Amino acid sequence: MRKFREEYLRTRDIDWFIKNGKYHIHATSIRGDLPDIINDREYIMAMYKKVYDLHEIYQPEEIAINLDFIKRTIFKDLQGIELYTAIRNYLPWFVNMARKGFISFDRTNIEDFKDNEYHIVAFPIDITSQNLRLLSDMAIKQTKKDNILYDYIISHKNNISENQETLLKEFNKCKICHCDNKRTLNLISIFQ
Amino acid sequence: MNKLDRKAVQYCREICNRQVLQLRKRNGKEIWDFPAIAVACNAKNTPIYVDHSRGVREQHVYDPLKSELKRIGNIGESSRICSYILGRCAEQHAANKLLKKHKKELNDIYFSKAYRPKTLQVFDYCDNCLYLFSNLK
Repeated sequence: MRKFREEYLRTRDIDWFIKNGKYHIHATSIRGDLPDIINDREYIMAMYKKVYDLHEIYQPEEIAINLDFIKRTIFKDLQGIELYTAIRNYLPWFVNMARKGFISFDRTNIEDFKDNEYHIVAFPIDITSQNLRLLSDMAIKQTKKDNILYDYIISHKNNISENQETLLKEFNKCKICHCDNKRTLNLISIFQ
Repeated sequence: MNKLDRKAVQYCREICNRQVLQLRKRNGKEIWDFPAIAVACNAKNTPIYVDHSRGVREQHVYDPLKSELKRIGNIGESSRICSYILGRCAEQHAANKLLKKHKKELNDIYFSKAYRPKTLQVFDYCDNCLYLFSNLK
């Protein structure tokens, strides 16, 4: 097992994948740390290839975007057209992962590499047994404790509404999640 | 958006496409990890140079950047000014590419914003780069 060195992690934006109960998690490190359980170069490389080969199993209207949080926290200094242009540039990577069946997280405070708080960007609204079966063949590493994220994810799922944001254009079929704008999780300490 | 920013954004898209192409080829090469930051720079009468955050070897760094880096610490280690490793920043790599081909001073070099290739989010410049390049202020 070859671990990534800390100096290397500080210059990279690594996609990592983990399973917690029935939830398949995708996260992007953006200069931050990786949980020890998946800090394994061969595992990360193997997952890139498997995830690339996955077909999208959800339609856009089956995906919810954590828009309120993104507007109020990630792009809090932007307004109007500039805000929506930034959001439309921000979303594709995560919506693509959500359409493959992952709950897609991003590290929140990209300026501070020691801050391991993450937020949900996009997620499938309903996780069906068919979709679980497709992902279960991928041998994604499982966390030691099941369902750590259950309450956090349910709080997002319980705050979904139709999309009336006309400026989201290519994402206007996705649903919108209206969740508390302070809801982040330290995924590194949770998954250690 | 000025031409430096346009070039930096174009480079970000090339970075994203590069990983897709590698995944498609599966030619046995290790898949390339995404860099965290990409940036573009130029100086008067030079083309635009682009680069991204990555490792550094002191013997590949050119003056005057090399001597200025050594004023604030050792290349490959944190500086006295901030915790980021000297020589690894995208701005320093892009400036180094320019200095390899053109005889310029550090305060002659202009930069785009620092972008995250996956999402085009804009990063603040670190204190090392703010110290080195007066045009970043």
